[in-house]
Amino acid sequence: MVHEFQYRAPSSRPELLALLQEHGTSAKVLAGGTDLLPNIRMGIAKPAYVVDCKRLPEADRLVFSPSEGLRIGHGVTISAILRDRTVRERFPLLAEAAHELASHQVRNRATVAGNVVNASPCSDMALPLLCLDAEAVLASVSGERTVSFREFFTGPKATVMKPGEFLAEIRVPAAAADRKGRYAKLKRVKGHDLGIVGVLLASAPDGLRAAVSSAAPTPVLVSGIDASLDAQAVDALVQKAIKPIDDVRCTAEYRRYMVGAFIRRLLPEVNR
Amino acid sequence: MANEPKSTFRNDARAKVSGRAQYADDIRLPGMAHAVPVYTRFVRAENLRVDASAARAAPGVLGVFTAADVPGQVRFGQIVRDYPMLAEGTIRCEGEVIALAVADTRRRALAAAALVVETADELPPVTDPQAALAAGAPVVRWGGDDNLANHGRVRRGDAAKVLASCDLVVEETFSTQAVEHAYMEPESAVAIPRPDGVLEIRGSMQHPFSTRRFVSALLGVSLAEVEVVDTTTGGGFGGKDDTAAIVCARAALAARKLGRPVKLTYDREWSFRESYKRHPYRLRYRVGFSKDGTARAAEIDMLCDSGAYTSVTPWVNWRSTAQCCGPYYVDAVRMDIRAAATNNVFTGAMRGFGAPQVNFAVEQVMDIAAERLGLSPLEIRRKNMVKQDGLTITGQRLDTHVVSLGQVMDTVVRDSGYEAKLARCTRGKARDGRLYGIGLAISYRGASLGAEGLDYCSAVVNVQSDGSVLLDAAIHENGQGAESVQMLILAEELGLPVERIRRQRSSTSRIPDGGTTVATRGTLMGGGAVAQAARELKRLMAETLADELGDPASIRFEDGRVGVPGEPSLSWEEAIARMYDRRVYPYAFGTFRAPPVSWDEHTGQGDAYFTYVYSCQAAEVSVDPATGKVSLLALWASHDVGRAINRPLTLGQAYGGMVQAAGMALMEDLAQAGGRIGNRNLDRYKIPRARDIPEMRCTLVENPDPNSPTGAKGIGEPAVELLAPAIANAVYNATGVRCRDLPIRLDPEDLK
Repeated sequence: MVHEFQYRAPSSRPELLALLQEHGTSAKVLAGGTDLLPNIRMGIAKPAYVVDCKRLPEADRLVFSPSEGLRIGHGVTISAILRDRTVRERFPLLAEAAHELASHQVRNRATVAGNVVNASPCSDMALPLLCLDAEAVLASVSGERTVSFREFFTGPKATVMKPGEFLAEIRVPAAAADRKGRYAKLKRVKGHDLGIVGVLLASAPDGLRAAVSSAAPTPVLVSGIDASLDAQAVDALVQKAIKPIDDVRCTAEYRRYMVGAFIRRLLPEVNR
Repeated sequence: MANEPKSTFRNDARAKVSGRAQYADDIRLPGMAHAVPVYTRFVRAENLRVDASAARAAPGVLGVFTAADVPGQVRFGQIVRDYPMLAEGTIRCEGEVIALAVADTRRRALAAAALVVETADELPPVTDPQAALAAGAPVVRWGGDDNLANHGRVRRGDAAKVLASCDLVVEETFSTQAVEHAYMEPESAVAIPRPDGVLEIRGSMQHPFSTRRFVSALLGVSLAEVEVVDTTTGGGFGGKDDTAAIVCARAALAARKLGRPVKLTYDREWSFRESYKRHPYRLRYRVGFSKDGTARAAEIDMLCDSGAYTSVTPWVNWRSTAQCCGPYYVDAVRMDIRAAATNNVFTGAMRGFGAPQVNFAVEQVMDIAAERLGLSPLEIRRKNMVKQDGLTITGQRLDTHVVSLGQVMDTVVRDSGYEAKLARCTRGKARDGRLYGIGLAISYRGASLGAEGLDYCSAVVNVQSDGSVLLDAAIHENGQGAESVQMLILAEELGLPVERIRRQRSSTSRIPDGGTTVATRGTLMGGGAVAQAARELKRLMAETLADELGDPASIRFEDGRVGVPGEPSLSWEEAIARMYDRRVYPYAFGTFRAPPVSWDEHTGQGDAYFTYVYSCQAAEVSVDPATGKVSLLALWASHDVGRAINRPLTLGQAYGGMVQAAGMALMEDLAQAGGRIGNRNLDRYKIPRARDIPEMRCTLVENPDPNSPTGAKGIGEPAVELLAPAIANAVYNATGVRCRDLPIRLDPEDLK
């Protein structure tokens, strides 16, 4: 509340990238603000500059084409994902996870891009993006680079993004369309809550995929799982990949147990 | 029917739903300054030194005040004057405020607060109540030579001897957690130095008179020099006493020092950090039964965490003492409760006040004993429950009101279909992947303060020359609907539509101290005082107008008319005009004094309360064996409230209490470690939401109480004190796992 910052709202990408280049780590991009503003209020983030990215004309772009796949602009909200018919029909995993993210009010503000840039281990949207081989388009004054979400997260609240870089767009390849799966998220209350643990189980051409949140420093993907394995064997593979901790919400032991419980529950639904 | 009482009314509904109700933080005054608290960074430390020089030099700062600036008493409390309203010398918990930063804006006050420099010699905190009472533990209690903050007892017969001859002895240990009140509106106060020399306080609180005592102590001024004016309050649940009063006192200090209005509004984190919580208890029960299920003896030991300061711990403990066997008669009882001072957040009043903890233990002990003896949970309860004209464990004979424990239990058993559902409980064998169970609990609750304190309350009825009526009463509107109930009672007594009455905005300077708005006494005591004032007014009017209307004893006040039935009568307005013509003010002051109670603190024997509320609640649950998650399927309640004056609000309190109890049972848990609270906001401290709560049904039982002027008893606390054990019993019946600790957490491994 005490922290003061300069607010900028550029209306073009070059303008925005120039601001980020100029101010480096002292600038934070504002999309929905559902993570950034509480963090500023609690003194966790102290940016000198808050750069609002929502005025860029391409911010809300959400389009699908067989050649380019699904393009999710940096300003696309979680609610927009839920409202979009193409997403619901062709990329149901995104809608499945979006449904579980926070509350209606938060979903109206929060963006898909913000959810992954925040890089919380409990990110809901990271799980379908991992299962769908999605990529992040990172822009800076020196150009664009594309990073798979498999490499995107490096730790709690940490990503491969460098100072001056901006998550301009998320791309989901057309080849990933029509992948089906089920998401289970354990919460302390029904409705809006951070997950104690979340498991998304999905089918893909290379076998089953299990994406897990809140059970390691980053969201975790285990791919290429033989679809004929039983739940115990799938659980064993996933247990090797996760590294949960004890925290105010529950113990590491309970998290491990619940990952197994969810795999046992979801596997028959995904294999059906 | 004449005088059919209106039973649905809320005088503040329109203002609240339209956002026009004015809470303390909505108040804006010319020249008003803003204060913020500066918290210690320690949990336990000595030789505190506070350097505010940099903060005082910051932009916009009007003053930074510490204990050294206090003209009166720094320390105050309701029982022991141990709580430092501004820290001095020793830090005993992380909620202590070392300074108050005041600036022209809140933003600048916050900036200045960050510049206050604190140094002290840090010490390891004492956080375990058992360890705190062990010999050689560091003494953390203010002014004490040990950490024993309180010791209460019951001595009835020779419990140890009787236990030795019992057919069955159930021996169980339980624990309950610290719970945050989570009122919607955090603490807020505005203090205004008036030109007449009086300091006016408007703030969010439960107890204007208690607040006035804190303010007068801190400032070192008389009670008459402080006026606490009623302000819309967004919930209290027992939690807006000490801390809310201290927030007001700090604002008053700054206002007095600066000679201008000062606002001090808390955010949720400060409220969590500083405000007292429900006492966590550890309870050990040894209860002996004969084969037929008669409870013959009990040995009970309780230990509770009083935290860093005393607050009302002895009173909370006292209720646990008087009600230590739940609503059952046991012939031989030895009970001891000890409260330990620690460096945890202090604990104090919370809706239920020492009863929810005890009931959590007792009501599970009864189910455990029933199962071991091959009796039904209903049989064992019927056999042992307190009965009409029977005794309580404190030796009180229940012969002044209807003892309706059996009636409320039968009501819930009928409404819920308990017996048929009990037979369908899964007892650990999942059906269609789910475990299913139903459980119930019963309780009795001494209404009002009992032997805790002097119990009386007053009201003023002041009829204007046009017949409209002003009402004042010394019970405070916390959001529970107290004013509406008072107005309904007056309307019924005077035979007037409630629209003719206005509840005047009360203040501590306009009506005598009527005691605190706690202990389920609002309707009983405040409503009782209103009825007494109305009756006093009617007596005065009947005597004054007797020459015109006839025998004063026969004059009735009904349907807006005054007169002897069958004789010529006056309209209410004509009658009032006659009163003014005769130079007799239609004005009455009424007092309701609670009937006498008695208590011997060495034996824990006496007439603890002048009446009791009888309750039964049941819960139906489904448990997911894979996750251990408990879902509530349905909740039932029945309470004998004496008389429901405002039926929808009575039911609203019942349902609200059940939701609060469901939170205590299943999710709420203050994450304290090393004296620090890890979940200081509602994103981490979870309370139930609408989606967590199933259909609820409460059936009110009404046996008007002869000792209550209105027949009403109360509902505030009974509603919250027994759902947790009902849920625990339901979870046991679903899973076969007995949950002895709150909140209930099931290990899925135990459900395989």
